[in-house]
Parts: sequence; C-alpha cells; structure tokens
Amino acid sequence: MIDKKNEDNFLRISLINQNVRLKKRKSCPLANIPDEEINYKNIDLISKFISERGKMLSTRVTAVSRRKQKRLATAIKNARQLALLSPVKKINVE
Amino acid sequence: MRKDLTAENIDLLFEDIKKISDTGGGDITVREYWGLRTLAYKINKSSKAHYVLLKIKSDIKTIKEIEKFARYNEDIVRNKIFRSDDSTENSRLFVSVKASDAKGSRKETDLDAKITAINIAS
Repeated sequence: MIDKKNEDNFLRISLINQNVRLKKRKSCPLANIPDEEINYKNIDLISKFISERGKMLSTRVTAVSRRKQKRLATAIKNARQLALLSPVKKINVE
Repeated sequence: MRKDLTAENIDLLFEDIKKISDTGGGDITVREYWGLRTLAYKINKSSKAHYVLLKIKSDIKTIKEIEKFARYNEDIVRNKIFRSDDSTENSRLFVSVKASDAKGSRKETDLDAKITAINIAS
C-alpha cells in the first residue's frame, strides 16, 4: 500500500515537472567593469543601457547587478542634466 | 562645469576660479578640457558648448564660493558639483588640459574593449 502511494506521488510530480522549464539566469554584463567607471563621464558605456526613447533599461532586461544598476541610474541622471545624454532619444556618441 | 561660445576666454575663466580656490586654501588636482561638444538638447537657445572638468580639493565654504561664481557668470551655461574620489586619471572625454591647445585624439584604453564587448539584446 505504501509503495503504491509513493508511486502515485512520483507520477504526479514528474507530470508537473514536464511543464516547468528552468530558465538560465543571465550574468551581469558589467561584471568585469569596476564600480568607479560607471559614472556620467563614460557616456558610451551608459548609453548602452538606455532605450531608443532615452529611457533607462530595467534590470529585468539587462540583468545588471543591483549595486551597479543603482550607480548606472545616478550616472544616467547626471549625464542628462549636463546635456551629455538626451532625456527623450538615444543619440550616437561621437 | 562648462562654458558657452567663448574662445581662449575659457583659460581666463579658469584663472578666475583658481583665484577663488587659492584664497580659500583649495587645491586644483585635475584640470580637463573636453572640447566644443554638441549638447543633447538646447540650453539657452544654443546647441553647442565647451566642457571643462575641474577636481578641486577644498572645504565646503570655498566650493560654495566657486558655485556662486559659476552661477552668476554669464559665460558658464551650467555647472554641477560632485563629491569625487582622489584619482588623478584623465576621464574618457579628455581632450587637453588647456582650452587653447585642444587637438589630438584620445588614447585607447582596455576599458574601451570591455565596453564594446557589452551587447544587450532588446
């Protein structure tokens, strides 16, 4: 009886698991760039993380680590104030 | 810090700022001229401006004094003050120290390769 129950459980689990796909987590693209380099002066670095409309890309899209996303956000905001980045569109640097 | 539509007056403006920081006991460690750059949006109806970056080591009082100078000077379009680290390396937008001898190209660094390697599929 106990064996039968276990078998049932096993079957059920395996059936559920067929529908579940494990997603591989992307690694942080800024992993080998030091924190200090993420600032308003490195426009070509920052501009990789904004959309065509000049908006910041979310961590969900870019998989940047939480600490670096924080620095990126302030860097983008500073660059916008200094007219190095446009707030409404992506501009090609140089 | 940056200026608008001035020629070698930029160097004279630097001297003015240096005078203020000297009287307050400040020390200018880094001086960079980024050249005449196109602005991402128009400021005061002009679409181009000279960019200057200065790293000044001093107390808050003199920094406030410099900010006051920058705000009331009509040649300075916009200024922004950051708390900074001690490094004296040139930033990646560096063109020359003085505005009067601005030419030549930027040196390639290993950071350039790292940045071009980043590819975000959107």
